[in-house]
Amino acid sequence: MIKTKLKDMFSTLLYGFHACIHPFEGFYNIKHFRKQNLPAAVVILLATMVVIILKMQATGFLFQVGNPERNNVLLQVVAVLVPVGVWSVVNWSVTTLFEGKATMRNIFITTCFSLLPMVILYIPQVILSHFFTEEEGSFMMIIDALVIIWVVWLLLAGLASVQDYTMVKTIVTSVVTILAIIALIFLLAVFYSAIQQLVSFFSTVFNELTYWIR
Amino acid sequence: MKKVLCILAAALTLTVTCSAAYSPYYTYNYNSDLEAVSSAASYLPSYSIGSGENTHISLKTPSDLEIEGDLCYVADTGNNRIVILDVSQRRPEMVRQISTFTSEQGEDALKQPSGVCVIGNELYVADTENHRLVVFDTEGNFLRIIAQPQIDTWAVDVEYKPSKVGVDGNGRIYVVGLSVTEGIIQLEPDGTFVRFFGSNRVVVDFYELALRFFLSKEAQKMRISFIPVEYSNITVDKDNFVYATCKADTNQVKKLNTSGNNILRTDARTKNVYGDIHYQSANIVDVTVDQSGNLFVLDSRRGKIFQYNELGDLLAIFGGNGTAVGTFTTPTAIDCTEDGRVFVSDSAKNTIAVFEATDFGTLVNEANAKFIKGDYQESMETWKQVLKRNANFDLAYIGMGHAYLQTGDYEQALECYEMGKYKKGYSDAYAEHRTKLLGDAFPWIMTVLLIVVILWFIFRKQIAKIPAKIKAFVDP
Repeated sequence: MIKTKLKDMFSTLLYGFHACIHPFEGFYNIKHFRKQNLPAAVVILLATMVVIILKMQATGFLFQVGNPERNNVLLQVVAVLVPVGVWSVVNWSVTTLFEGKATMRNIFITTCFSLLPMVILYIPQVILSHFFTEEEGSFMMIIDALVIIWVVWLLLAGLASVQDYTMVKTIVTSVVTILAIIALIFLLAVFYSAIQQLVSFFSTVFNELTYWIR
Repeated sequence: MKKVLCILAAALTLTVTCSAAYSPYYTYNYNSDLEAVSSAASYLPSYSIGSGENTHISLKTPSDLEIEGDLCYVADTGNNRIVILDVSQRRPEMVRQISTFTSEQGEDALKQPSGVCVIGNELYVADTENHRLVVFDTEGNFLRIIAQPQIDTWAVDVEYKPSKVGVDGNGRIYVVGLSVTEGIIQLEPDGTFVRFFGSNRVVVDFYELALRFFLSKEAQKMRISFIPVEYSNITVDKDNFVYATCKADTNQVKKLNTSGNNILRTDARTKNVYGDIHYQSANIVDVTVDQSGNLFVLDSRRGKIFQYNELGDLLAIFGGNGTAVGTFTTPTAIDCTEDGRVFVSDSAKNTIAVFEATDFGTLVNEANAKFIKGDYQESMETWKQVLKRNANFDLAYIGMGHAYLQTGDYEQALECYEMGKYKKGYSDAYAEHRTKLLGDAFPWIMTVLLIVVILWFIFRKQIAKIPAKIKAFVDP
């Protein structure tokens, strides 16, 4: 039972590489026909975290950004988890209002699978960084640019096919999602500050009361 | 009991002797992330003139000093005189003072002189409140007066107040005037005006520009106008380059060539920012160059002295705000002797503090001198000594890296450059190392390649089936 599940997941995982090259067909199939697509997505998310940490820790001296001795692995994990989570929630909230066909689960899976280029390209980049001199550093930048373009393309194409949207509509909803995330951050900050005020108010009242009783 | 007393006495003498080496300030340097990291002290205050053991010399608002050989020329502004001290000993001797003299107009006197400059046999004094320069010989005899130059672009009511003066080997005179924003006034040896030299650029404040866009004509006039910053001090080195300082956020120190362009190297870690690089920018008031071309930059905001080498690498930071010997309230001028002592005058404390290089500082200066000349091999041992005393000193690693790179010891060079966080050196060393490595590994690479080709040839039928197998697994 578990063995077949694992086999299905692994097969779906490998299908992800196919989806990287044929996103429209690939993401549609992942949504509708592939079994164990959620575990596969989680595995990709974990792999992305590992690869990003690897990139920060194991890049050659010449291409290190910042000081690897100061990197915080937990912070790096949060820096991957939170954007993916928030994006999935907010994008679903937006697209349900725009007749999207995807559930939050579908959006999460699509987002995770579209991170696959990072896993594919960052590992060779880390290895190559040990063999390049500073003058050849443009190769590193090309890889970085390639990863960004590829991930964004996969995300847009994947969402379009999963939501049954046109490309323009996908871009519009994505922009709205980003704006909504900014609004969300603002609201959280306001909420945080309000809670702070509330707590300090009650603690002051409590202090006053204790002085009064004494 | 006797033993205990002995130990106590020993401890007491120890503390007393140690107190001579006590540093009244923290010493640090900047690492590759431009954070301040602790460093051993390069310079420590040794004694002071005008206080402590040397109260026999009393100064009032000393605002400039220049050292030539054993003699120290101090512009004792508050006492309206120039003081010439013999500073070869720890207790300085007053050689002579110049306050009154006989000129063409009869009895004459200096009025708040605030700048001195010695070149050859001549002593130039910026006689600030008399709006003129006065030239003496080093014996103190009056030679001539250089009156206010004729400057056509100046309005009639502009007051000429020369505050600092510098003279190069060809007799060209450079004058810094109070609130002169056009640049340094350059005069011919006879005192005729040549040009404004090394003019500062106007720094455009974008916030101010944006604000002016919305303001009316009248309101715009109320705002401060964009004017270039004025120079605060100048020094001419032995190669006739003019070092000038000004109050700004960047490029506070300039090395000006004859066409007035800044040629100071700014590709080191701290770039073109002098003084402390974080928070409020330093208020650089003076600069001096020592025998081996190191720059000592004096910051009056934090009372600190920054020592840079010719390439702009920060070697030492010392001094601070305070009232102890070696700390300052209003430092005004700095100069150093040939034997490496650093003199700093303070116009509020009315003293001149004298710093001497510590064991560590001497080693750094020694290694740096060889490093600047390009004698990396010889500097190696000294850098190692430096690192024993201060492992945070990155320039030492870089210097050792250069030495290893020269001898072809690339792996060691790579290690040193990585310790010193010097990417350019690392890259150069790596390029060499890689070529060597590839050459050594070439037979192995070819062998492995050959084996792979042979294996592929043998198992090519099995290999050809792999894509189909994967496809079957993924797409059942």
